[in-house]
Amino acid sequence: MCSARAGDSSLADRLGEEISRLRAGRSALQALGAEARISLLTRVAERWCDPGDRFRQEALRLLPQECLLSEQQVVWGLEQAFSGVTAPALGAWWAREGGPTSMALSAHLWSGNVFVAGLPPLFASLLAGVPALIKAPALQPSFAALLVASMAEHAPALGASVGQAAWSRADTAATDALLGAPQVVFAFGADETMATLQTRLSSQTRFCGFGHRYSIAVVLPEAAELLASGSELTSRSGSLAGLLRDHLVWDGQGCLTPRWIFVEGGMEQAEAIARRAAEALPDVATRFPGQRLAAGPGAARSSWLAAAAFAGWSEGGDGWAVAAVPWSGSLPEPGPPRCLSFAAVPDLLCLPQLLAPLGHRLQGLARLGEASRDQELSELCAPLGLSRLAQAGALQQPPVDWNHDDVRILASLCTG
Amino acid sequence: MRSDELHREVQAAIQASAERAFEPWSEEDFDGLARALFAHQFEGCSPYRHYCEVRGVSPQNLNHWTDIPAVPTEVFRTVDLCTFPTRDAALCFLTSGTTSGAQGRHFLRQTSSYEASLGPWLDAHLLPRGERPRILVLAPSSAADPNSSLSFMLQWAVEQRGAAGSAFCWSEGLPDLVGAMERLRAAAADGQPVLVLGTARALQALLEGTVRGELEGPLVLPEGSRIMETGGFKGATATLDRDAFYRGLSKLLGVPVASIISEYGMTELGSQGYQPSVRMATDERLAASCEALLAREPTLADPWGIPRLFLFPPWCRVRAVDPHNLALLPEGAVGLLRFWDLSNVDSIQVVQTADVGRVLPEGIVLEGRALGASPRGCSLAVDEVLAAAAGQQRGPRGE
Repeated sequence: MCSARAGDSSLADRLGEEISRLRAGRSALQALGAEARISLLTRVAERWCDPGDRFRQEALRLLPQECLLSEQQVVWGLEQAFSGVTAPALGAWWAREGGPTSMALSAHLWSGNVFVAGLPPLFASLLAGVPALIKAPALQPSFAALLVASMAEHAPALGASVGQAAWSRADTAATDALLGAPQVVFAFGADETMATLQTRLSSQTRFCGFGHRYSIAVVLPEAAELLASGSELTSRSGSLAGLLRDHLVWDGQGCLTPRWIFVEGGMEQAEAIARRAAEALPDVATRFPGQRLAAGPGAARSSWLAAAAFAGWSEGGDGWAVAAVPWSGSLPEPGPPRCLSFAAVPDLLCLPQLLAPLGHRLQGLARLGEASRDQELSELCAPLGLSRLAQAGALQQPPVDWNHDDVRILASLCTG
Repeated sequence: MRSDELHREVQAAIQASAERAFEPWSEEDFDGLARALFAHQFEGCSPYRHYCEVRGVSPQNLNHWTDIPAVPTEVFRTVDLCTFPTRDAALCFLTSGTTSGAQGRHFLRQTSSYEASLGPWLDAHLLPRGERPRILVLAPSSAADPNSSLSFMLQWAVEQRGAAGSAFCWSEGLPDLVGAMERLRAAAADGQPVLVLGTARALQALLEGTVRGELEGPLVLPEGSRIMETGGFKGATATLDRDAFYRGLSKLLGVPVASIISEYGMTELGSQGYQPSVRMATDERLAASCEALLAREPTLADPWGIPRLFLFPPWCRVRAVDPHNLALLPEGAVGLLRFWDLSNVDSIQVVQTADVGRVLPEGIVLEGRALGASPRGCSLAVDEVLAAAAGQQRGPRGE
């Protein structure tokens, strides 16, 4: 492992040295073979799921403050991200998308507080035998540093092929030094940032940019009736508590957090379900507590709660809020983080029109109800960009080989 | 009609309060009138009634005036909050637009309580000795902007308190800076005090015009002249700018800084707040309490020894609430400001703002305006995308 540090007088120079070192290690990584690389990756993942691991403990100490998350949210994020990194999962991924590659280096530009979002492309790169260099956000440097350090300790053969540094994108010399080197770049951030980055790459560099996205949930009519009448759903239908967890695990933020919950049916059902949510939310919010609201978010929440109450029904508690709003023919006001909006819609067929102003940015859909309509929902929302459909409670647990934004991540590294 | 009765009750209470030199109202008096208004607004405004029912509050189970459900200012943009059909409104004050383009609306069935509230409090802070000066206004008149609550207030001041020669210096949507300076020079020459009322932006333009040499200045207005500015410098972070601005105005017009008064108002409220700069000179009790406050909190003093404080009349109570859970905060704690304004007879008396401040026994200390949080992680800023899709831009707020 070697890390370039921001704040040095010549970060760009140090990055240059790091890039040379990583490129030089490519042949050793390739020589390991896919099976050995899978084994090393699973070893690292297992350590991150071990509460006694010192890197994990350090992450729990540092990340809450850096990422504005609670310790419980950080624990959940780590376990969700690493528990799925198993030999069978990686093996299946490799079998489906893997193959030989001529690439010598991949770059990974991480962004924001959902600190594990960049892991699948990193795992894919190492799985393909391509050394990886991570650029962490200047304000959230710790996870990348700890991950690279843990690889060096627990799987030195992998650790030799991965590096990291944290700096602000405003440091264009460092960013240019990074962008000029790899054959493939994976980047996370705002759409505008993605567009800018792409213009700075050579035409030979493959670019996989993951812009900001949103998700939704739907409650199918049979499930809505059951929930409204106080009954429970079958395990295949997802659960209301799971839906609430989908919203709160990343503090109401992140591309897989449902921003609206569309209830197919009337306002009566939407309100009944929202009231049940209000009963369950104190417990879920305690398990995934958020930050205390400052004035700005507090004012936004206050306005949203009141507007929802005027239109339909709303209730707020400590670290959560929930509302039910009737069908108005247009998209309801989006709730601030940790505010769940149950919106009545006469028919889910209206979703494409309703969400059209948001463009091709729909990431995920959580479904409360039987899976029998998944195909229909998938086809309905494909034009909106949908790349993940799961039952409520599982939306935030994508498998490691999920085609984020419909990008075949591992395949994009295996160029033959 | 219940509304007419309430208007009479409110106006009588305000008049009595003014006659008692604005002594604080008893809990009983305030609670009684607040309850009566709540019952009227609950019965007469069906959206508000629904809102209160969702919150589980009705006139029958109301414990205390602080339990009356507050309506955030943002809601005035989307819901008509009045106890009468909007077609019967004598006036509709509008706020500026926001992302959605919608403007907040404050409907008034009649203006008598509004005027009853603004008059004595304006007198106490701008004209405490019963003066009737020439008034020059650097803002649009009511005729030029009939939907502006600020213009209504300034028009009232000119018509009810202005001497001959009072005027609005405003033309084609802009301050008439040349005309204003001509009138000010004339006032300086004839020795009669002037009261200049203006938005901070217009007064700033006057200042900049003279700095650039486009306007002739400085001049020395007659003794007793005053300036009221509004609409700017609400936050602690703007303190330095505000001090420099006041210094510049004072130098430009020859008015002591202690004679510059800051006003704080909003479209949704019938009552206004003022800095006590001028009133302190005539109200010994107020001067003593401000002195005690500054001894306790010296940092509240501006460079001229005036507390950075806004005073609201006793019929408009203010409390800070915790942004996290909207619970009332103890005196002195920083939070979002909530107003209970008993001059809002036919609209909504409890207004939740996004202004941040502290409530002290002497008045309120504004700390700024709550800014929306940027989305974190990889989530989409949905409202920004929707606004962009609608081809609209975020606009300024307030008057």
